[in-house]
Amino acid sequence: MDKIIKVIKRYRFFIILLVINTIILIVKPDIGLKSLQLTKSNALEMLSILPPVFILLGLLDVWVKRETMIKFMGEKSGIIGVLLAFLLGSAAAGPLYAAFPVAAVLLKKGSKFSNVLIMIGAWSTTKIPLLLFEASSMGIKFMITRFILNIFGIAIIAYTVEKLLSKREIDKIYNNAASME
Amino acid sequence: MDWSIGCCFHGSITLVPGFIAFPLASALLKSGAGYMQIAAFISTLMMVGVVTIPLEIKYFGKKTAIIRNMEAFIFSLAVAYIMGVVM
Repeated sequence: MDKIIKVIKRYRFFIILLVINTIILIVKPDIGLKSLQLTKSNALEMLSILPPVFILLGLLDVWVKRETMIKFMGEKSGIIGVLLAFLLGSAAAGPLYAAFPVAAVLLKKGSKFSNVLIMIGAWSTTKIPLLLFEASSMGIKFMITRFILNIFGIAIIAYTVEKLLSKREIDKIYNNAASME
Repeated sequence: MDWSIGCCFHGSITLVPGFIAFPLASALLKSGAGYMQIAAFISTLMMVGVVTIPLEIKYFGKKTAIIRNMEAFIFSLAVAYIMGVVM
């Protein structure tokens, strides 16, 4: 019985959404169907993105030494660390949730906290493959204006988040990342 | 501007792959939506993830996740406003 409750607790959001979706499907079949289609495309995206990301993460973990990571993205890496973090995030493909495991490995290897936040920011909004797509469907002016604004936004968010956290809270995040496998 | 906030909420909650979102956004533009609203939608869609917050909390803790998402939300409103002026 305990086990069943545990499973239900773990998947409570999934179960709630499933119920809501079923109700919508009965009441408004066309909207329900569309939402199912979106679910399908999200699931397929997740299945196609996550395995390669985890393989690359495994390789990063094994191939890149902690000292190397600290040198290029650590506390004293300066502008190189910032640029590397930005490029790493921008070169990525895939949704934002795939960036969190990457962030964990970077933290584990001794990357500076604000650099990891820059990587997350870049991953969320300045992905190169998506920029090309954005330019073709929204126009080049739209894409470039948003890109320039985003560079500032990523920097502001990374800087302020780091400043708003205490040393202890940041240490806790590092420890948490180190204990993750 | 008030509708931009609505678009921001919409973009924050939904989880749509980019290769579906952009054609959708351009279709919305063609059918008369404003640049400000579309920029709000796209920006929050990419930077704010309400659905993935539990995962983000698992990696970064509650405080970081909430601050980051809130800042991204406010920033998206600013982006939307500027885009509305520039475009």
